[in-house]
Amino acid sequence: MGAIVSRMARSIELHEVSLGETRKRQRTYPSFYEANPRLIPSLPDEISIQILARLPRSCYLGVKLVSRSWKASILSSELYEVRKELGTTEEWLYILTKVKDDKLMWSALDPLSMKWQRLPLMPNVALEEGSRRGLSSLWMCNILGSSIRIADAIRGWLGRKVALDRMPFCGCAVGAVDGCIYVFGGFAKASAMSSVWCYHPILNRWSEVSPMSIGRAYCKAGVLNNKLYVVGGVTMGPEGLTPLRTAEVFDPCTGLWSEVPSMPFSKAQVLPTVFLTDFLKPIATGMTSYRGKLYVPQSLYCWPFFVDVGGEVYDPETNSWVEMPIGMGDGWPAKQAGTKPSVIVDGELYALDPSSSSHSAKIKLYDDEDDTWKVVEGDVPIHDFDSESPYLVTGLLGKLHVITKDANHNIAVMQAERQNYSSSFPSTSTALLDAWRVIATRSAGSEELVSCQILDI
Amino acid sequence: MASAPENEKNASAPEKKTLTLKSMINNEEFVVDEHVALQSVTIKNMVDSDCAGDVIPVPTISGEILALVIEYCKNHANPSASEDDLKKADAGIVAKDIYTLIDLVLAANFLDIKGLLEVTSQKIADSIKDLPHQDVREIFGVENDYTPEEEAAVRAEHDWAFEGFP
Repeated sequence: MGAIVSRMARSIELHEVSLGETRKRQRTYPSFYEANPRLIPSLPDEISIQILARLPRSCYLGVKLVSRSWKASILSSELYEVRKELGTTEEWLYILTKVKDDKLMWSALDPLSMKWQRLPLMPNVALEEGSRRGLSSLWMCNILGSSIRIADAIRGWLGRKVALDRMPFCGCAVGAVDGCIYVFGGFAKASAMSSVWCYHPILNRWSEVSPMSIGRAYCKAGVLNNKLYVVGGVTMGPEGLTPLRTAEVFDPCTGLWSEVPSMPFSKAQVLPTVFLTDFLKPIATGMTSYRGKLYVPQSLYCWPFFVDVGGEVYDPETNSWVEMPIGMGDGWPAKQAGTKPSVIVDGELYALDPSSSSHSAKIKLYDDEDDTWKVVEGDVPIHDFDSESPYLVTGLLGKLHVITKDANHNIAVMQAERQNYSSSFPSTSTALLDAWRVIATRSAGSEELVSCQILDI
Repeated sequence: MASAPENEKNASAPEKKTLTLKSMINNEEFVVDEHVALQSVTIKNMVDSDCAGDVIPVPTISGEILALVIEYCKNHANPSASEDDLKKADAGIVAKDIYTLIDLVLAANFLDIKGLLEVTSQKIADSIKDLPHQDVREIFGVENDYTPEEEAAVRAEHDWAFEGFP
């Protein structure tokens, strides 16, 4: 019998090399865990990691308390690699809100358990409690933007003097790439910041990364080919606030910024008179990454007017800008003067057309064959009183979501059930979104919605 | 969780090859069709390299656990089993207490049966996901090696995240 056992053991050894991929993978988490007590004493760590990777992400803050090894494992990127391999990653919604005193707060929604959790404060907001003095110029609280109407915030950029140091808060841009959330620039006191902050969900921590080449407030951010692009915004120049045409790109792998050609704003170049050129300043009002290119709707601005002038498209292959298709630029629904948010769900470009006196809020879908924005049948249940308070649009779990704050001061996350295409609709409309379902709410008091992002880890 | 009757197959293939698996813990023996046993990559490798005798000894796995493993392999060797049937059968196999599951996941790992490893790990994860960390420690016999300060810091992070949220 002993002979058989040892023969078996030998044969197992022999075949270790040729064993299936699972086993090989399991053997790739060596030194770190071996140096620590086992996660579960009766199991090899490679199995324990498989078990941890199958836990819902919402458990991770809790199971960190089990032991040092458990915490180390939850904080290790290996665990998240295993989650990817197993297909157990979870998409969460992260919402940025402005709370009292213009502070900013991020909260996360786990759409499976419907649990909310609060993220750590962004670093300088936390600093503010203790050592605000001397750091005021870096005070995130002031830097980071909020839901104020951009038209108000940048009122009188040109030709009107603004008491900038009294500007209560200002616009940062946010983006997510490679499993992290990034927060770009914004105003601090009288200057536009170039700082960039990164939230790492595995570590549940914020850190500062390389700054942009120039201070930007109200810039637009978007992700293309796993890199974060920022365009436009305003900066503080010798003559006051100056709109920016420049763009730059951040590579999360290297942590470095590189230059991108500036937006030509060709529409602004052909204004009939020098007078107009002087007064109408071109700004980027949105940005979306669609079918491998960056689409930037643009406006000409002269307080208090915004004139939409279509937009431009950046193609990373040719590293150049071309004009946006006319129908796309003309029909792009604006959230409010100067902002044109949009969202990609399942490869399709959507935007929300807010309610007005003549119609209720609608979702529009861009049809690139016809170069038109088509109304998606079905009203979005955002009521008139809401039109003043901002809403956010996002794609979560492959579905369109609208986030609003309702009359009872609750933040509500609404999911759209998309019905199938039907030929019976008039040509100006397309798919049907008739069933809006509130999937989660939380009481928000005086919080105001600022922005949102999705992370899938 | 009985497997489908093998009579028909046996009728058409009277010389169906079988293997005997023997638990070295309690010497219990199980006669199984070779194609059932071959779902274990470990056993397959032994058979392929002619290392397997008539009786294959299985160290460290008790008869009770081996029976579960064989049940799983039988279910998954049945070509007419629907995905739904398999799901139900798997759920039945892993409807066990956590200590049995730990033995089962070890067996699945040793015998290299990917599917069983997956369903058992998932079941273990499901059984601890709603437990407080003290219970997780106790169940698995994990020693709390935090200093009180360290533990307080991790707890503070947890409490900050959930405080005031439903």
